[in-house]
Amino acid sequence: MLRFFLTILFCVTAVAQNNPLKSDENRKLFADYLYCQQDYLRAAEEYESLSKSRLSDTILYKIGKSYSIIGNTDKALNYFSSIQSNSLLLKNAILEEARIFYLTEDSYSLNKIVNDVDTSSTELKKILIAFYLKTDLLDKANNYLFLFNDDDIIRLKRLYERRKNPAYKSETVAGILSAIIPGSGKIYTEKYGDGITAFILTGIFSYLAYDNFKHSHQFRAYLFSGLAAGYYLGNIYGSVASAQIFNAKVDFNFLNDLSEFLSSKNYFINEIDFCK
Amino acid sequence: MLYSIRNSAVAILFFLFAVSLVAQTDWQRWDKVQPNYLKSFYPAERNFSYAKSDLPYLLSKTLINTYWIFISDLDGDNCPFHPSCSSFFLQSIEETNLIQGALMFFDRFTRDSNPVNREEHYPVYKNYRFYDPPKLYTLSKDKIHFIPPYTVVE
Repeated sequence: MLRFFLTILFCVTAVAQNNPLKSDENRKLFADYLYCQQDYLRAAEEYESLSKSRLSDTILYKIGKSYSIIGNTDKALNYFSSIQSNSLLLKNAILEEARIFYLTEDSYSLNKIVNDVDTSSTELKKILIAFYLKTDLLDKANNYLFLFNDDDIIRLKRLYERRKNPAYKSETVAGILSAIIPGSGKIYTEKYGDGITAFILTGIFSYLAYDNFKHSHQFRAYLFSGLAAGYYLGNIYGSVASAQIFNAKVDFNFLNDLSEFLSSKNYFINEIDFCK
Repeated sequence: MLYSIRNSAVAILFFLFAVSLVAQTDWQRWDKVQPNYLKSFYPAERNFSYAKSDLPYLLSKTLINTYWIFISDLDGDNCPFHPSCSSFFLQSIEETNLIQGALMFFDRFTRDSNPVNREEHYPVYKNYRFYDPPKLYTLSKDKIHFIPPYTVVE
């Protein structure tokens, strides 16, 4: 009886080592589920644990996409570049690589894949134009802008015009305006409240200085004169600084709009829904 | 022989029982997390030491230290900006020079005197004050890193 019991125990233990739960098929199903649940890190790890014979182009693309989404660009590029040239996912993989090169500002790699005759496409050229706009290489952007004509290019041309002729404010004009009328330079740079405050403060201290000189209160007169001079010169200085900050804001808004345009177009990548 | 087989069976059964016993975790209760509802408090940073030895810095630091001890501590932490105006003055002098720092301070004081629509122009620092560092006003374009309004700066 005891021998029978021990035999049963031994057989059960031996069979348990060949666990069908962790077969490649089950791992792939689990990885697909994690991918659709947007748990990309775990999905990538599960896909990577499959045997090499199971790593089809679709799985390689999904691993690359998972790493791309979580920000591990090196691994993402590795997997995208390992997709075969006759695969239906090749175009998407190249566009994903271009997107990574755009975001990491890798000009050399981006130019390389755009100029590669075998893989080049309209979408790649659009990403390249956007990259030149981002890095302010307008001459190079101009070379590509007139190659084709569609809604995206019209939009990119508008962004190009904005980049070429930004709505900057002149620092010199702001300084001169504030020198003539205190606060007007700040109003010129759209800081209306600060401009009015500067005018009021300079005016008040100037009047106090004048009034005290008139009544021969020398110490107070010189004190208020000093403060008036400080506020007057500070207002000129602040107007110039305000113009610089305004121009930085113009650049920031441009880059923001460019980024929003590309995000709305999903970097011209035709997204495939693997979860249907 | 029967005795030794019985002993080994007992040993194996004891081993299986012990393994099963250790695997049970039902008696480990989860403790209730005590949440902290208090808002984080960031008091003004006051460094009274002298970092440099040049005369303009020494004079201005002495003036500011005197202000901090005799006026600011009594008046309270009232500046709506971060860094506060006195700290802004000191940092401006450290970044530039006495004259330029003074001009930056007068400009800052003008902006401080304008109580209207500040939230439309400045991001917010983690201590709930408007973020307005001196590096934006040094007239050096490389140092200007624009942060849009309503953004929280850590």
